[in-house]
Amino acid sequence: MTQDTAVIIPAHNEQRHIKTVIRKVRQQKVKGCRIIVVDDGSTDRTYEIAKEEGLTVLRHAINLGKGAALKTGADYSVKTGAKNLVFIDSDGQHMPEDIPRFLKALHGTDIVFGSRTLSRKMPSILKFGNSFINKVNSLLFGIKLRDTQSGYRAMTSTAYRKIRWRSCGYSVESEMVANTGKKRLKYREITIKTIYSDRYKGTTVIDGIKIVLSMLWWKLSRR
Amino acid sequence: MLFGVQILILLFGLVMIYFTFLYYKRSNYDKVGLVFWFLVWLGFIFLGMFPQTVYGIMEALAIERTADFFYAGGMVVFSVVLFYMYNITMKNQRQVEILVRKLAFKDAGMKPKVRKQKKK
Repeated sequence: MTQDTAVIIPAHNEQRHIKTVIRKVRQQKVKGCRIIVVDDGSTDRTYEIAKEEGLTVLRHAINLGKGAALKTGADYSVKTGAKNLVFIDSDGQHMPEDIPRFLKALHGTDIVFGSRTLSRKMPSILKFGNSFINKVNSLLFGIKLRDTQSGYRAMTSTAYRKIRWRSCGYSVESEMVANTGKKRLKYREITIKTIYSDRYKGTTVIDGIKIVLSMLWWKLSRR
Repeated sequence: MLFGVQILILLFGLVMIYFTFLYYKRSNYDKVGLVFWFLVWLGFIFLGMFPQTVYGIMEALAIERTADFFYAGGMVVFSVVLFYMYNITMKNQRQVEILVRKLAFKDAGMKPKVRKQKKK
């Protein structure tokens, strides 16, 4: 039987959170849903812990970056018959309880973007960087989102084929948005809650600069 | 008589020739690579010792000082090398990504795609 929805969890050195995230996703009991963990060359026990949960775990022999891990998970899912893809972070930032809302919002559209509520716990530099990148995105690609950097997203496999990205690192989120604009896909945005558990992981200021430069490049490139 | 900068060029060129030979012995490249880099460093030393050999080109390009000519030339060479290295790095990065993904699929039990041959 084809399982229609694949929840893709890219993970790099997330032995502390991966088990909880997997179990919480399972608790949602979404019909026809399977979980695919992509271990992006972890040096801790992430792979073993995910494997113990008895689900599909794809393992990168070396660390390639979040964008590459998402692409591996999405390619695998599409090749094995998934119709809908949900991307969720493995660090426990995202609430798996939102998955049914994502899938509901996906009806009649191509992509659903999760948008984080601006909480006091969100580091100020992230708030500023995010807001700046949102504005550049809107200006260059005509996509108006309150949060272009959240990794919590859902899309149809057809949409994935159209916007399959090239970024290996953290600019993947922006490239997805850019390609959505370029391919004129239908999108929606839903509000999500976020928990900041690790101040030192995720996008850095240098990543932010790279993202903005990449956005200019994507605007000029044909694809 | 050699000027200070010429002594520096000579020393730099000789050190680079030594490293070129050392890395050849470590099998980093073949004889073609060895000869190419030897010629590069020998040419570098030659131009440093006999800068008058480029006066003709300098005149054609309306460059007055020899140092300016070498700065400009160095920038051009540097840009070309940077561009070349960028291309190689990007190509290698793509290939590594594809390879790592293929291995991940193989480990997960997915059969590799077999391309059908076109009937003649």
